[in-house]
Amino acid sequence: MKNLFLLSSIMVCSLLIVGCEPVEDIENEINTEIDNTPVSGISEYTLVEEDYTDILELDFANFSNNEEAKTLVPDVLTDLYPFWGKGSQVLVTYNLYSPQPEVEGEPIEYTLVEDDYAPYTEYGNFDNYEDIKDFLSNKYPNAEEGQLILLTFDFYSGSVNTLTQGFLFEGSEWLQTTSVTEAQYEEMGHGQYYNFNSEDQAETKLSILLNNTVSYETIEEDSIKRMLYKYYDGETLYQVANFIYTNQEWMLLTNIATESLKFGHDGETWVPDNTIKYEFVEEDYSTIEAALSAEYPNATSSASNYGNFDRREGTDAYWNDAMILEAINVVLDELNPDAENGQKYELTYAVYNGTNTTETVFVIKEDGAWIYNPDA
Amino acid sequence: MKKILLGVFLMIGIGAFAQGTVTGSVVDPQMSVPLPGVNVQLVGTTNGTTTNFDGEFLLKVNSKEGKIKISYMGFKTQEISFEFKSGDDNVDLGEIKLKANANALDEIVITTFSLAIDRKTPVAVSTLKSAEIETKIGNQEFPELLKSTPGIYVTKQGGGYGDANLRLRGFNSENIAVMINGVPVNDMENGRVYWSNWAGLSDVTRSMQVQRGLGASKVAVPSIGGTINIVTKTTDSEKGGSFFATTGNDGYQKFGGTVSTGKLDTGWAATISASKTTGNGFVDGTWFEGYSYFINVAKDLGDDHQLSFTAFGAPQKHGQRQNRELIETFQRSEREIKFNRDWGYKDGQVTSIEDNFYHKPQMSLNHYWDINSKTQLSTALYASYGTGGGGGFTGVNKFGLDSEYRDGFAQPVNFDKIVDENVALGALGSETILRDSRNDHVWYGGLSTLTTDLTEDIKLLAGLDLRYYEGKHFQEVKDLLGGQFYFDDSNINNPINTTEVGDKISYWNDGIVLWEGGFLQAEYSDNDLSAFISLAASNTSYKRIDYFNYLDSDPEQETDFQNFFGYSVKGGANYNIDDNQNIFANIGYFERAPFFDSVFLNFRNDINAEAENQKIYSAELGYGFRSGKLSGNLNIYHTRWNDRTLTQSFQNQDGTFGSANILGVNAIHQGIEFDVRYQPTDRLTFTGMASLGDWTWDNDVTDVQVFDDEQNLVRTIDLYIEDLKVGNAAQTTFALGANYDVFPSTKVRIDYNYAGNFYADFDPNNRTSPDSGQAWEVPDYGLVDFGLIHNFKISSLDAKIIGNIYNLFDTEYIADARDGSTSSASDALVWYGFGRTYTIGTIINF
Repeated sequence: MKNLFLLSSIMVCSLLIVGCEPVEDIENEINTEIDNTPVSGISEYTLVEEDYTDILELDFANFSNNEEAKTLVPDVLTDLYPFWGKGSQVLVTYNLYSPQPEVEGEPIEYTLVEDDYAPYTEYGNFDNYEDIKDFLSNKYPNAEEGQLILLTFDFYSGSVNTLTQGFLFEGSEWLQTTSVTEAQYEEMGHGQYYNFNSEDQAETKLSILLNNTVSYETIEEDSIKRMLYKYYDGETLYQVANFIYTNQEWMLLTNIATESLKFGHDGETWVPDNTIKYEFVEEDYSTIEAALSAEYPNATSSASNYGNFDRREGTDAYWNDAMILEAINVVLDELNPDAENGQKYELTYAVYNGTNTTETVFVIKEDGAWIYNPDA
Repeated sequence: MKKILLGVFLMIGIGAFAQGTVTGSVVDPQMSVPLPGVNVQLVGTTNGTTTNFDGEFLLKVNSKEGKIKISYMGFKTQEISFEFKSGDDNVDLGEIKLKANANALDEIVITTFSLAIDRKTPVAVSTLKSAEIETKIGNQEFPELLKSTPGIYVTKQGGGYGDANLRLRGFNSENIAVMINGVPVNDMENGRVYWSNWAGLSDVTRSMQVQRGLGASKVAVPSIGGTINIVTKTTDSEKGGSFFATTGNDGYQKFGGTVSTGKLDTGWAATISASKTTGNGFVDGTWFEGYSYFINVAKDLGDDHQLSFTAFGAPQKHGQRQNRELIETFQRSEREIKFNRDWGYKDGQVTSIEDNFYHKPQMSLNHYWDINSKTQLSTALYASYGTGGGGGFTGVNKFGLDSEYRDGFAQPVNFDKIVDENVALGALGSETILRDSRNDHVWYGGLSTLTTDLTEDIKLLAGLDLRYYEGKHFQEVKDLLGGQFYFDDSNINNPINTTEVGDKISYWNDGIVLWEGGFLQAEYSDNDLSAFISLAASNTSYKRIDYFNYLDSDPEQETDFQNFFGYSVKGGANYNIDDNQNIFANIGYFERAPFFDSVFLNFRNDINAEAENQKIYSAELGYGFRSGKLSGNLNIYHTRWNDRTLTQSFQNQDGTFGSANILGVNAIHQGIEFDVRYQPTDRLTFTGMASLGDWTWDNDVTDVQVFDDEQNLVRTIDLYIEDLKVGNAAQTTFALGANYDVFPSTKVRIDYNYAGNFYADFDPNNRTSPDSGQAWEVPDYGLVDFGLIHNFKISSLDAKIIGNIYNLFDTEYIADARDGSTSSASDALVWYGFGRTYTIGTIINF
């Protein structure tokens, strides 16, 4: 019994001695650091209707302008990626309200007379559209947005022709339109009345027409074509369908445009951010050696040889922070020579400090040179 | 019916006592080491016997009661009464402890195997006997058995099977002499001991004795930290055998058995033992498969000669964890302390990047000859053949922690992706392959000791120690990982080499070591005083042959032998103050040849003209106390080691492993050690140990060469390590243990081990500035092990169940650490020790 008591007291003693976990404090400290190191991610996201209406409580699934997007998108991102922190980046695509010009009210038909040409030419005809638009501004100084003028005028382009063309006032300037020809109506199956049955039909068929019309000239990307057409809705009405040429295709422009903007997390919130993440590759270290070998022969040859920076203070191949910034300048100037001031980079490079690991720094271009970003 | 029969036999027993047996075992008073060859005699008759190697005896007697006399040279003679109980034909006298006498024993085995004798040999010593090994080993590594011994620090390192490492007084394995049956086994080139070579030896170990400091070895051995003597079972085992099976955590399974013929009438005797061990390992990716075999055949040739042949080996292969990690990495990994980056999956199978396989059969033929009553000669001829090596990768490193070849951070490697890439590379060959770094060797040796009593008090020992060693070092392609070949330009004789599996790459060189040694020892022993003086001298010759760096036509491909003369002088004395107390002192100086890689620099045939002998000076004082219930030892030591050669390995700048060859380091290791054993009752025993070390590096070293793992010189650095504490071993350790017999058949055991004052091993890369400061101090830790043994019978067979729980409280602790650039927990590279593990096994004796 006495012995049992002795034995149990030994056990109790050992328990007391080992009661504490030896590495617990260290682990807690490291875990706190890990926990405080936010998750950082890179993603792309296109806002869906619920984002506008439910999260942002907007009436429509679009932003009125880019400023509104910059203010409101962070709320969506906070909701979407609550656990993402500093260094995270999301390329956000959203809808922007950008009303397309359209015909309002009754069109005005006008045929130019001799005197009308006088301020612009002595030949009694136009030879450029700037003059026509100038003429329209003067002729209809109080035109309202959406006013269509069906203008008949003489135009000189090698020879003089009489043209009738629609011009649409979009509030500040006159836009030139392209009228659907009778031959085109016929081709589209509307040769009887030379009009469409609805705006939707017009937009669909004109899209097909444009994309099936052979063009012998190169059409520039982002060219815009405004097709003026007639449709029947109890009476014959005029309207324009606006098309943009993108990716070698005519696309109908609606009142909603899509825009993309990159947002970054600055540690507290999401802000519009142009930071580019970049990780050094093997060749970068060779580039660095080529540029800086005269100045730092040992350090650059080590970096090029091992594909990392020796960060052990005291060695002859040691890279201090200033030297690394020089190397960063070399790499970024090679990588992105046209970067504008204000461009930010998040850079990760390999280092050796007794073990092989990496370091990450934030830089920004200021006055043409890359510096460590003081705000990062 | 059975009961009636039993009754009849009992009555016959009472009526006329025909013949019975008296059994028991005899042990030495200090550490309960079994004493073989003890005379056991029935008082008043000539009827007698001697104890076997386990100290056990069996004496047939015809009388119902009487006394037996137990006598043994060097111990006081004892008489013990016995009486047969009704119906019994056996009396077990249990364990008999002899009381020390001034004159200690001179047993041939003890002499041959350089075992120390309590209260006679003036060295600090601890001994484990087979019963303790059997109960404690479980799934522990062999050296871990010694973890409660003063001055010893054992870690499992990465946790692979057989990868444990033992430090004694702060010295690593290349400075600890390990001898198995008197035969030295430290690698002839680098002095190291690879415990995985001996993984199964614990099954057949009879005793394991640690002599700290200079030790009792007469042979010139690298006993700077100390000497570990392992003595295996031999033919004086009784007839019979045992079978055992053990299971444990992480799929651990071990089974095996031993059979002994006992000594046959023809003079022949044989013992055979074998076992198989498999498991997945506590650490991820450290699967293992190990076998062990042991055979001993002996024959008595007349009364004066005994011939004994022993062969043993432990072929094994196992996955390794070579990479230490940041504490942060373990914390971030979902596998926590089990995390291992060195493995992955290939075709759905676990595939190791780092693994190890080895088989080193060791054979010896021993001859014992009693020339006359005063003179004996014992001779051992031995041979061992090592084949195997360690795995790794060559080519592009695709194994970083956040490598795209892992399915996420710190996940296992996806080898299939590497295979796909190698397949796609087609005729360009593999860009990443798996290779083996082979380290094969053959070793032949002869060791002969002549012992003669010059006078009654003075004994003289003289001997010869001859060795031939040939090591082969090369890398070979293990797995092309899908590619058609691997291009290697390392061989100057074949610089455009498209290699396939089994072809040599990177390097290929041989090291040949010759050793001629002799020793002479005089021992004086008279009543309470014993003393010895010993001289040993050896010539070590090194030759290097390099098949890759030199043309076959180049005479420099093979060097001349480089000779180093080493010697040792040591002496000591023990004085027994009274029956309970003794004091001893020893002092010694020895010079030892530098290691192979310090003689030939740069992994080339560049001979280092300045290679110096390593010089070691050591002195020690000790005090011992023995009584029936209490025994204890206290000793202080001082060891100074000059011109030490030291190899430190670490991660290179290109991510591979490298090593620094550090020459001319001085170190001072000193300290106090204490151990105690207290047995208040027959059923309860307490043990305790405390060891306080003060181990420091003594000087800075310049021009240290740093190499990568393909043996290319990377750079030269200056090393500032003066006053730096020696790392990688806890300088303060203590242990407490209790054994309690709950029932006669059931014992429980609890052991507590504490390690403190433990510093991270310095990384040569981080010691290049004079103001580097101390390395990181690893947190102190204490661990509790629990054991249970229950004896029972299966019909007539003795059986027992042995259960062990290691690290009972699942304490998380760091067992190994390498210092980082800020010498703090944040950048130290560490291995955690194992969490709670267990084994349960059964042994059936027949």
